[in-house]
Amino acid sequence: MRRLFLKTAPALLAGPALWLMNSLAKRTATLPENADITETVPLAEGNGIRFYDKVIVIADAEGLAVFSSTCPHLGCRINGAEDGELVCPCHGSRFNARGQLLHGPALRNLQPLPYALDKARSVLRVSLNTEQARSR
Amino acid sequence: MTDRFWRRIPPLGMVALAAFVLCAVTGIMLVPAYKPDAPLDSLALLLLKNPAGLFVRSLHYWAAQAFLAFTLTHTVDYLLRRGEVRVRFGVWLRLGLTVPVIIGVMLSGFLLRGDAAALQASQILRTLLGFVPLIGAELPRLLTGAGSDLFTVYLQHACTATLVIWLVTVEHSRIILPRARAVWWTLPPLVLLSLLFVPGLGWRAAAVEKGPWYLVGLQELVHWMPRPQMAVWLMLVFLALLILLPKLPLLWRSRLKWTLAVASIAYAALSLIGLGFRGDGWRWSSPAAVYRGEASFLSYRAYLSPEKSLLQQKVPIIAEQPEGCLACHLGMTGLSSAHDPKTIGCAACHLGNPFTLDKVLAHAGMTRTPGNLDVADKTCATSNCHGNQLDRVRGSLMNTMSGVVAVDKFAFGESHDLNARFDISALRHSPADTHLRNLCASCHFGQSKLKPGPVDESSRGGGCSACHLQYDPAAAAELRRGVGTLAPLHHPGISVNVYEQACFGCHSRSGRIATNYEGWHETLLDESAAKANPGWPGNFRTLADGRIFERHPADVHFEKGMTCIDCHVAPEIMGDGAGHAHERDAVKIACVDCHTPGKTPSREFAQLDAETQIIVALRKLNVPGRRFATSPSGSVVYPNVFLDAGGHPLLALKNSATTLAPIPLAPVCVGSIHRRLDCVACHSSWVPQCLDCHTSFDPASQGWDHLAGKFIAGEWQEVGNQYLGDAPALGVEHQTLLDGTVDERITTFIPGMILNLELPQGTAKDRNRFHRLFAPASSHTTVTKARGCRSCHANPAALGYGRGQLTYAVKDGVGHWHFTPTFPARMEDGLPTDAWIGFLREPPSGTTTRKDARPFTLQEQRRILLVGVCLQCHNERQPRIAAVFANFTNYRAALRPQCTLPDWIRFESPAKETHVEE
Repeated sequence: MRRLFLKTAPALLAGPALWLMNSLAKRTATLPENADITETVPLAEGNGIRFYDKVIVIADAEGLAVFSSTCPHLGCRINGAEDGELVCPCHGSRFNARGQLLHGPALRNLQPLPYALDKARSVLRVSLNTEQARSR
Repeated sequence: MTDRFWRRIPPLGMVALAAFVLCAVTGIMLVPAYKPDAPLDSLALLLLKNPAGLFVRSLHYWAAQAFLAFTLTHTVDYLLRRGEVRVRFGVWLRLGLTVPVIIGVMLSGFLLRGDAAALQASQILRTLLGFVPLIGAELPRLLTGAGSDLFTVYLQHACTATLVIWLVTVEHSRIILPRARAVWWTLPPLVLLSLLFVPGLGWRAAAVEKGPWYLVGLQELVHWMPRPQMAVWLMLVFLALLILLPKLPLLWRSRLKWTLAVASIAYAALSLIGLGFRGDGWRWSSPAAVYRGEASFLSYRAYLSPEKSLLQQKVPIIAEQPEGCLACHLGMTGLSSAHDPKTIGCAACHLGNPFTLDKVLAHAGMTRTPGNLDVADKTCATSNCHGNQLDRVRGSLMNTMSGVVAVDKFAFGESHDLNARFDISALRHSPADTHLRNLCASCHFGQSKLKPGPVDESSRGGGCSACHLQYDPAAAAELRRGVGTLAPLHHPGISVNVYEQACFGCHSRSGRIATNYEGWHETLLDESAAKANPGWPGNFRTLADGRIFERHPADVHFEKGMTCIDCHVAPEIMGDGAGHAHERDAVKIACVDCHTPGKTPSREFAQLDAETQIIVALRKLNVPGRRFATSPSGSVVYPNVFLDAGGHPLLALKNSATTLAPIPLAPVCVGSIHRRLDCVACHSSWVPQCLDCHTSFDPASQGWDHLAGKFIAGEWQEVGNQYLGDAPALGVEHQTLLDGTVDERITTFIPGMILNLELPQGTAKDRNRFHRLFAPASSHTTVTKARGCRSCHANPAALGYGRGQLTYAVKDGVGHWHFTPTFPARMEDGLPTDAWIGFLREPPSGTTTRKDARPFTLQEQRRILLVGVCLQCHNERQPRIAAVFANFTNYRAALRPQCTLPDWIRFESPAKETHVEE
């Protein structure tokens, strides 16, 4: 009887424990204290592609575009361009300057990010909330 | 004997345990040195200044690799010996569940490096953990934490995973610690490995990031998988099958083991592909290219203790990480703030290894010429420096030389499209390719500079350094002192200023615009002949390559102190992103942009694009309220041309403190008469013209291949027989305007080639080619005073007939033009040697080196010469002359009886003859 209890008790407790952990993690991730994140980056210098920690700023004839630097494939930080294409250094996904997927393994376009232009300070305030929500 | 030897070797599991214990012990020893909130810095300090700590880390690393390797081999050995049925299922279950823990402890060790590769791996791990069913939401935070520090990873690595592995090991092996014999078998090779191969750290983000060797197979796998979730499912299935193995019947166990074996072999193959054949951007690459550059391991030299003085001083922190280079090079002067080593360090440009104080290791993989385009993506043009410019520069004509290649291939009969795009770095070995490799391929940005040194007449290539590197006397002295023997103290400057010597080396050849501009015309004289000339030495100049030039009128802009970049803006020189066929298509500047006929179009500073704003700011030209001149279309902005209070343009010279006020256009330039003429058509005082050249291949000689950088069998040789420097021929060039309309411009032409080309192969007929092709060219010999009317309208050279006597004679009431050439006729086409077209003949097609350029048609020749007829009697300086030709129709109707028109007028309607615009 004692052996049966010792064998079954962990299995019975594992379910609730997993549920509790899952719930805790989900709640933690969605708390506004953890979700409202902004990255401030210098205003892009000239036409071209600029890489920052979490965002990519692209300035060209079509205007300014800001994307998450997180590759939609597995989350690598895209940190380089080649022939005007954004290239993921981990698995080789490629995107054009409009963030559109050109070549996999990623299946989605880059995530565009909302931003506010602070001309007085020559910076862009980029909201990462969209990115946070997706990475969760 | 053999049996006794094998019996002495401890079991594989025991070796794995010994390695595990070594790992644990060295991990504990590392605790005082490691900072989870500054992982890279703390590990870099071990590399820089702490040989003992470095050895412990190295031993920790190698013990971990040994633990993994022996655990794997122990598992395989166990499965081969059907061990799965010899342990209780509960133990087997826990052993199976430990497999992801072992991968976790290894991977977390990799993450704890905190370098760029580790950060990328951390992101991938979090994403993959999120795919685990049921617990995917909490796993990423549970195992890697919520913040950006590595406290959680450190905790799971050092405590949780270590404890779990140890408990499971104890449970199934029934021993707590390894036997001493296993330790003695394990320790010496690991110590040796630790001494010889010291694991390094990545000091910057790379264009390809690979995970630890045991997960590169997975990295390659997910590259091919349509959905990465499948990788997680595959791993879970693999684990489930492994755990359920003892429960299966014998036959199925055997089949499953075979399946697992095949999967393991496939995984090993994927790992090999990922490790050996994946280069930048995870593209296919050769192993040589993959492992070129930074080494993952350092040699034993990493343990050599640095000098005491270096140990005592704090290693400077640059861009939030230690920069060991500055321990020796901190006092470097000569660079502006943007490139100051105190701001960006040394390794950002020169590569090498900033995480060591050993000179040999620090300099391994460094480049002394970081401007070269083959390394620029890792140096000048990294994503956060000048990454925007690299693609433009690579695609620019000064790098591809597309136009030069296209014309050369056209002349050799290897291409029929003069506007085809080529890249000189991609030449192969056809006759034209070899010709270019031999004689031309050094003059492009992509030609690598092999050693440091100032730009001079002999310099070629060098990428960014070709223009932006400036040696002042102190830097030149430093170079003479001997770079490599002592730590340099003074660096050459790097700036937006580009001096004329940067352009001179290449542009003193071909069209020779650099020498033309300064007023030097190439001769065929050797030094002794030149010295015999009464003008020697003042009227002569000998270039570094031995060519002797004689004095001709210099360009007025040169005399005013202007240098090349005062006119030629950055997008023109460094490329504008468009693949132009020829240099004339890439040129942005037009004379009228400064010598504006009316109101100068302009923009305020705030309306400039950000790149121009930076250039303006660097040149300190950003004065509040200042407006900067643009081209009439607004597509080109001149950062050094701004308007004065009256709205007139002022030109600030980029390489000096001088400001010039460009003179406005003369009335004759803006009237209807010459509206089709380019400014250079009238204001070019002379152009260099090479006649009667002979190009042949000498198979017995050795030629230098500029692309391959070596001597090759055979050499192309060019011999010029006539170099003349006088007024250019004129012709017509079609220019497509921004609105799409095609504009015809009359401009200056030079003999691009009047030559015999002797090819190395083919029949006698095919081998010998004669070309008479003229090229539109701006000779850069501008003078304020324009050429006179007769110099075009009654000048055979201007019309393309060649030099000679052009006379107008009247016979029987009808005028006739007669031309007596100076040069004899060529047997190949019957034209005088220096001619472009036949006298008053319709020119054939294919007489220029450009698709959109041509000589004057017969009708145009007649219209030009019709004016020349009038100039036989009327003085071109007559004040009324311009008005006459502006309204020529009316004047034609009222000709005096003594005005005798040429013979062709009788055969054509007057209407066609009256629009004299040229």
